[in-house]
Amino acid sequence: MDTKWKNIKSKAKSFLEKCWLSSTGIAVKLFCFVLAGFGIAFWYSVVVYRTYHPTGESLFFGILGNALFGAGQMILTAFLIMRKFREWDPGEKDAYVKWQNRWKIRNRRLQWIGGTALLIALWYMSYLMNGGMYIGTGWQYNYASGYVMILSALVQFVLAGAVMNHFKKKQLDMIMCNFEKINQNRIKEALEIERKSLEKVSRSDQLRVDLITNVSHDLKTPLTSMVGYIELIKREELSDIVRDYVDVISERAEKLKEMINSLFNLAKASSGNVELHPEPFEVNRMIEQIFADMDDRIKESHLEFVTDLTKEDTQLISDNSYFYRICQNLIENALKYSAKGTRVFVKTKLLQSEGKEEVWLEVTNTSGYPMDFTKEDIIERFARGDKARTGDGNGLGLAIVSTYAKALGGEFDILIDCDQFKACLKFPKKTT
Amino acid sequence: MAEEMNMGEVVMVVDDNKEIVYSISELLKYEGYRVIPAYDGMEALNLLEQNPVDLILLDVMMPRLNGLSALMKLREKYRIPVIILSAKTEESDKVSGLVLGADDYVEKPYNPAELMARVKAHLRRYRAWGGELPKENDDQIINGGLVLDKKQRIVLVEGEEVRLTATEYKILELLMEHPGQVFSSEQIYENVWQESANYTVENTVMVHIRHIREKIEIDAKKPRYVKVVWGIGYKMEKY
Repeated sequence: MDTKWKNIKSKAKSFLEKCWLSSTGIAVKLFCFVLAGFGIAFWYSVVVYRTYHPTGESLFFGILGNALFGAGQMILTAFLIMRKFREWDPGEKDAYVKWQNRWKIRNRRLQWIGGTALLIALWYMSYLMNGGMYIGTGWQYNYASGYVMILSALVQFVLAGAVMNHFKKKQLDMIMCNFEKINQNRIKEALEIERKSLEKVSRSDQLRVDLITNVSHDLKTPLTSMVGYIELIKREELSDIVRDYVDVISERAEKLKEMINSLFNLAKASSGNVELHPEPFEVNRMIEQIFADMDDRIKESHLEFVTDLTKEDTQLISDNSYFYRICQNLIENALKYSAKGTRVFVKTKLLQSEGKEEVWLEVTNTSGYPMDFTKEDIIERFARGDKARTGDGNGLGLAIVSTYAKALGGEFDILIDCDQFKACLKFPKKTT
Repeated sequence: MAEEMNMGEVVMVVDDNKEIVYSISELLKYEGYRVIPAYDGMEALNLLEQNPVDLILLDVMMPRLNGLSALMKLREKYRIPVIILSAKTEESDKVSGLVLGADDYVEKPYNPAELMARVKAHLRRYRAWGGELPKENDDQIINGGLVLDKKQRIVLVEGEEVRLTATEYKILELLMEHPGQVFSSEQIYENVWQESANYTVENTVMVHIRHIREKIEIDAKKPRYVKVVWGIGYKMEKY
């Protein structure tokens, strides 16, 4: 693409230079001057010897003069344009505007010259009509030479104009051709810039994931030592008080481990580095499986779980391991924060919206803590909020739910009404 | 933990963090094992040449020679059980470890009781079968450390018999006959009970599955064999 564009430019240049400077060019020019000179000679004879020429002869000499001068003048005009535009570059940035301006000047000049010639011819005509008394010989009755000169001026104007138009058009073609190349180049440049910026983004994403991976590794290493030493302490003879202390430390170490894992998962998911493996599965079945899986913890919790699962088909095509984490986090959340002895409602249903089917899942529980936070505090916790730190949870659970739901193309919402906490999930039932 | 005759069995602990090596070593010594510490993959391979070792606890991210490379090297010569102990918790890390010949994968920070149980189970299997898995025949289905003897109708986990009820046995038999295949609760019910499934089936099957897991898995929360495929069913992981 680039070479072709350059070719046009250099071709145009070399062509012009060749014509102007070569010996043949000079010969042609000389020849043109001679031609034009003969043309002028004919006109001269028409004008000066007007009284000797009958009308027919005047017209004949006039036509000959026009033909000869016209030929010479046209070729010379062409050479002149070529020389003037020798440095002209159709690939320039504002080539079109420059081209327009230059031709405006050139056209104006032509009009001036043509106009002056016409005025002279008209003056000559009027002079003839007045008797032709100032120059030459005697009274004049034949106006033929006058008509010839007026026509000559017009004909030469038209011919010169035609030559100029020819070049104008040719140059416009060149400019258009270049515009296309320039546009293509610009598109290429734009694409290149886009590609680079995308690369940059993905590189910084990769950096972020590496950072998260390294940080979580570096956090886990000392924790691993701690866990080992805590276990060693437990095997020593300890007073009851110290044993209690150690148990607390041990429990907290376990929590810390969970938190690091949650943080890692959340950071990874929110940086967009989630690899999904979508496959068809049943939401209802998953919820039943989770209940079976957490059976012992649910029994210990002294909460009553009420399920109201739709009889309709709740099949989704999505990544079931991420979806499991979403559901599990919601139920875990209810287990952790519900007031003792209350009931937790887990509901699924199908929604129809704009002809599309959606699977709806909601978990409603009664909080055991005052909920003085908003939805944003919880969901965007990773970025800001610090209000939602109550009880023994790390509070990242719902942020993970929100991030994962978004990654799977679903929607997550929270409704808080007094002590009632309702988490809602909505997933489109895609067939692909 | 029941006292067993595990005196004298040698466990090599490989980790570049000295504290981790020390604390795990001490815990293992409490259990009655002898311990050889190593601080990178190279050292582990050298020490392995000079000492008889029965099991290796192997970290992944180490200087000089990392855990996975060391694992590949040592698998050329040794069949002893290798448990990877790593802070990398992603599924892909676990899979690559197991594919390269590790017998188990424990996340850092480890749960001490669980780690000890896994060490014990793998040593028991190694003792029983010496790194070679028993030959599979018409009467026996074998998957990893799990052996199901159809003739005697017993199940051995890492060389030790576990007691299953008749239903649990049937479910496990079904899953073991098709390792890697996912069965829905209905399919399991219809296969085992030989009657068509109805609405209450789901829960029944799930309860049985949980009981099976409690019996055959070291940690029922992190099952190695009977896995839940969320929203679809259950399967026996193929080893």
